[in-house]
Amino acid sequence: MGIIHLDEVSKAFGKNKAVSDVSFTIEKGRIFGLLGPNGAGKTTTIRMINNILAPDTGTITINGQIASPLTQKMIGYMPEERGLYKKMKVGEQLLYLTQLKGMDIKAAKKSINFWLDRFGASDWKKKEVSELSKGMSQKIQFIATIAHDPDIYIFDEPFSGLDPINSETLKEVIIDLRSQGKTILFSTHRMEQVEQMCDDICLFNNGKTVLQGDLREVKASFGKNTINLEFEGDGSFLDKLEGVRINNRSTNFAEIRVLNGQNMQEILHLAIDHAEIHKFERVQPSLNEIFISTVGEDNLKNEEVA
Amino acid sequence: MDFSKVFLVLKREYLTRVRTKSFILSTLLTPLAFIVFMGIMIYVSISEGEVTRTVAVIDQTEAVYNELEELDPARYFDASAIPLDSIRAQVLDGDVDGYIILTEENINYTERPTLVYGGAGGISFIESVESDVRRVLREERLARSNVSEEVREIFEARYNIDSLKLTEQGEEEDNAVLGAVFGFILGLLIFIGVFGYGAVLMRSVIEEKTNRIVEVIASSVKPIELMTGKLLGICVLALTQFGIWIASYIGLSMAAAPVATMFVDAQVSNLPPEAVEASASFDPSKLEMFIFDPSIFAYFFVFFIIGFLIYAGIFAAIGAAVDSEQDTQQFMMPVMIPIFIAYFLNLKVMEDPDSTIAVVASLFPLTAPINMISRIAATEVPAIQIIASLLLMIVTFVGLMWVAAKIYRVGILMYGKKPSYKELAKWIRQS
Repeated sequence: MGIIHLDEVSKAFGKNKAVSDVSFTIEKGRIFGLLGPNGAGKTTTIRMINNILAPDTGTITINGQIASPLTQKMIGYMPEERGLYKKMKVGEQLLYLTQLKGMDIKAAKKSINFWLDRFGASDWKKKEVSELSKGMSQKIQFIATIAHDPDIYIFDEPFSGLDPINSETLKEVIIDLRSQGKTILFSTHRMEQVEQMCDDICLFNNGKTVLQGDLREVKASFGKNTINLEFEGDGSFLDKLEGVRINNRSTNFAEIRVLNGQNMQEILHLAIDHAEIHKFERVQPSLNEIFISTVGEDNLKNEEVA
Repeated sequence: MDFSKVFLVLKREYLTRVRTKSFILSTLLTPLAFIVFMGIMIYVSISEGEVTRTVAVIDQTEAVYNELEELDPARYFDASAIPLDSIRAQVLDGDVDGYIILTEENINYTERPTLVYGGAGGISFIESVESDVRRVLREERLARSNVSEEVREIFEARYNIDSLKLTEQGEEEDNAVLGAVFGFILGLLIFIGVFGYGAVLMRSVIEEKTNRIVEVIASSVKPIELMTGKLLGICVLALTQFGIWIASYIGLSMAAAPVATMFVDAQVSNLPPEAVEASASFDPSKLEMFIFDPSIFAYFFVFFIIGFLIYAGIFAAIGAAVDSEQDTQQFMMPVMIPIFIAYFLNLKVMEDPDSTIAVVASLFPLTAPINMISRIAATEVPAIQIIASLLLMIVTFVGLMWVAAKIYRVGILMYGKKPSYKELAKWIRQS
């Protein structure tokens, strides 16, 4: 059993079923990506793992224990909507939030100083949050999430609203945390970050998991059914293709997802007739393509399995 | 409930607020304003005899001037020989404060005497001249009528009453009016405290919501722990302020009499002997009536704490249900109605603390915190009523808190549309 385990978890708000019969397992020391369109139930699931909401049915276990105030201490959580007390000093605020997670005052101070130092933020300790720039308060928010040294880190849409520098720092810290054997769960709808960082993914749609597993295995299971085409010349021939979906199209590039097992050589012939081809490559579909095809109306994987 | 977390929340809530300028200023300036006010009152009452106002007396009867001069030699002087025009000029110049012409008609009281004054006049000046003149005219008329000594004594006598209150311990001096006024002020203080600090709590809840920090906190503490911590933090804050106020009141009321005596003695030794008599109307030991039995303050704190707890849960729930302070108005109405009724009933309680309406108001849990303390200060409330009122309040507190905690729990994570009462009922049912 993994470090986080959900078993047949459901949660409804009135008539609206936010999460229905969701099960997944997160193994220790992995980076787990929770994907899905807005309103798919990601945040509700994350709140249940954090014991902020209680599931209607099903069980959630953290480190083998049912989610409870005790398991909250094992988790560092950064919600999508971030915030701090504006009128409170940085140092006092971090100490308060870290102590709330159950760390004793001495260890908390030491850890806060360590992280403030690492982010070059030691000078801000006596400043009120309202005096800080947005990028600075993002760093403080991040320290508030990790200072109590938990085993599990949960970030809900961590990259939204981050400037590029903080975004890069966050990525580094996440990779760093994994190398220390920590477990990271984050939700996002930015696929390139998932492809760069995640070991495992779970795709949500309408409150249900529609796809989950090891990222590479998931991609491999779709086969090399995608063509990356680089060309020069008139690209209008692409509009004549049938049984394909074109993503990432620009004046001299197209990512062509081939549906219905169509012969790819025919596409190459057509392309040669209309433009100068610089590159023709058969690849696995991008995660973006997997996301669209799984969540979108034509559920290709089911067809292929059948 | 994890009380170490409740305590952490309480500590933060208290410390961040107790250090604000507005709290420190309002806490310190209020007793200071009170000291200044008391000082002015004492100063005015002591220094009344100091400013001597002069009145020119034109005694056409030649019978009453000597009596007047005897009453207040510093004030009255004989102006019968001075022409009226020059007296009028002196009054206008401010050398003389006024003049009065006394005639035979005045003694017979067929005509009222007229005091003509310049400058500001002043009620106490006019009244004291009036009483002096009334006295000498009456005496003169009595003398002329040849009435017996006995009748004159009857006119001299002033009929006042002393009041003593009968208690188990025997007869005691008691000031019922002062007690009632004091009770009203204590009730007012609870009214202000519950309302003012309830609003502070509500704003604090809204602040955590709009800052979006509440979700981070909710991943560390239970909503009920957060709510309890905040509520108690604000309660301790209010107690700090009231504690300082009441401690300074007790200190002042105990120091007032000895300090005033000291000042009066110092004044008296500096004054010319004739002024001493005038200032003797102020008796510093009277200030001791402002010292109240300390038990009333103990009651005050008990009723404030429970009263605050009853209302604070609702204030917290309202804060959790909305996104901004503007949205609170709709929900404030049901809270304001009982608390304002209690405030207005308090006037009735002050007038007649043993009336049926006062008894009912002091037992009904939503008005009791304000009305019971006023009654306790104003009259002898049977212990059974105090106990009943406390029990009813505690039961109400538990019930309201139960509802409030459920609204709070759902509300802190809800953003967007302001909920209706129907939706609030749904929140209570679903959690």
